Amino acid sequence: MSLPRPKAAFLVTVCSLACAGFSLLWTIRAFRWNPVDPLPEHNARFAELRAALPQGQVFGYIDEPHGSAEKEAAKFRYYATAYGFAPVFIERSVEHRYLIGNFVTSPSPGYFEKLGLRVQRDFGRGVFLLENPKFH
Amino acid sequence: MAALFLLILYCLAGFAVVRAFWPAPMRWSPADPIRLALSLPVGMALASLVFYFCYPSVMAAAVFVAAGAIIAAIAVIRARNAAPDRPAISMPPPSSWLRWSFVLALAATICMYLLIIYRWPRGDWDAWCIWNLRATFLFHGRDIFDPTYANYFWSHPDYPLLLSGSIALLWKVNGEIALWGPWLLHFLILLTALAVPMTVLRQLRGEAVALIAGLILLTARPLVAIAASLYSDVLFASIFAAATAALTLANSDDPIDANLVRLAGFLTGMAAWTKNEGLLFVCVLTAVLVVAIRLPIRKRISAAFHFLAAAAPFLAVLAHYKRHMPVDPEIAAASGHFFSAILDAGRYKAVLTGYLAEAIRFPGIVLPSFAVLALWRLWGDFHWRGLRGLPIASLAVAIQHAGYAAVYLITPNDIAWHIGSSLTRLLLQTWPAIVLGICLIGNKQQRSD
Repeated sequence: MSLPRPKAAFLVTVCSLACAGFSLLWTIRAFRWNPVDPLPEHNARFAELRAALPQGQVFGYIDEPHGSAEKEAAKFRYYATAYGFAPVFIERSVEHRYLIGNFVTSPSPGYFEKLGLRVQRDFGRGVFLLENPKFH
Repeated sequence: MAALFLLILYCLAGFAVVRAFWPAPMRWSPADPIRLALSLPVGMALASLVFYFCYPSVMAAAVFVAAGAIIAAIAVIRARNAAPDRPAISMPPPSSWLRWSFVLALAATICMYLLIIYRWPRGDWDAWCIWNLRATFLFHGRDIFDPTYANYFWSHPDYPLLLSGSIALLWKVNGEIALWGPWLLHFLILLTALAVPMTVLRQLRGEAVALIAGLILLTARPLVAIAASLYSDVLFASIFAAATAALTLANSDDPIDANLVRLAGFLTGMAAWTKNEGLLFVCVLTAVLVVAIRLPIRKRISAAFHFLAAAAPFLAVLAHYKRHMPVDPEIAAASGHFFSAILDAGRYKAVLTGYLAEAIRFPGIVLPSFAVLALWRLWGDFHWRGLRGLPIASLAVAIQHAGYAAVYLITPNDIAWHIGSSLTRLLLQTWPAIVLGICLIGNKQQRSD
């Protein structure tokens, strides 16, 4: 049986090494393009609320109304909140006694009242603990 | 420290399971590198099964150790009467520059992995909003079948528990959630995805071909990028390659090694317990076994029975689990427009162009095509007998992708988005098996494979 011919093996090896080097460079460059892990910063806003959360297994969730352009960002904020609060369930619904409010911009005055919700506590930086009086 | 010890136990228990299925004499055997390469995913599978049965008891780790000890005893008993492994193919050692090239490529890969983990320690979206989120719920002992999971449909709560379960057990033993657990586990899984095809090729084609295969594998940037994203696809890829390799090894023996057929079945069951795509893989590899194995037709049916019997424990657990979990709304939506979708020519075109674009984009796919030509034309003497090892791997990959293409056809999501967001990972799932198939081509064999 013949050994791999040096010419072919050499060719494959050089190309593979070039690919490996390129991949490494791509990863280093990706550091500039992509933001740092946004989860810690997002979830740090909830530290105080997490400590003050009432007893319960499932909480509601509300954020500002958003158009289709902000859909992905809003989805990220909801998923990140759900991840940060696990093992408590955070359901994207107002049909719960307690709700977590997650806002990028401050909601207009009377916004929650219009939705029939009461602010239990404003933690600042767009984070609220809300109550739905319907479930009182 | 206890979690690190448990990780070592995953490997030891996995090695015992593989040796119980595929016995060899007690001393170190020629095929033991392959067994060792399979040990981590097999150990994880055993741990996740034990965790599932014991859940939420804290005794799961102790039961896992006991189960591992019993299986090790079975492996020892089976070793007494086991025939020795056939020795690896006799080849002169590869040149040192080939070895050093592989070491260099591996070092670049490890650097990439560490850089990505350093930057995104919680992994990419699917890692924290599917796999590690589920592991967090399991770690905290939340009811495994809690109906509230239905509200987390975006997190696919029906996904099987091999990965999340084995991570949760690590955290349980650690006493708290630690990010380093998934980092280390996924790094070892990345090494497994490399080691499985490489050890099989070392056995069947020699060390030089194994090193070339390793180099080709490492050219695919998604392999390390997705491993460092802490997704389950690299784990699935290594199990896919392992099951395919076990069947290829079985097919290369004369007579067919029934132990390897059963091991392939067990690994295929593991694939179903890893990802939903694994259920398709069970059907695919059963069909490949019936079609491609070198046995008379009656014996093929019998082999398929043994294969499925070995997969059965995982399939039974999966059936039990799925029965209690909410059905993915995408499945219901897909069945609603099934007929209109399969009659839409535009969807076929979208799938085809998606595959073609990804085949060009998938880093490394161009290089291996070139490598195949180089291997075929320039490398050794091509011989048709070399193709005997090919059908298992190539058929499995081809049919699996036909299945994926069918799913794209009927997807209720925007087809372009669905293909764009998942096809790289689906190609990656079969990548080690593709490289295994490529490198089995050619070269006159001294052995009858």
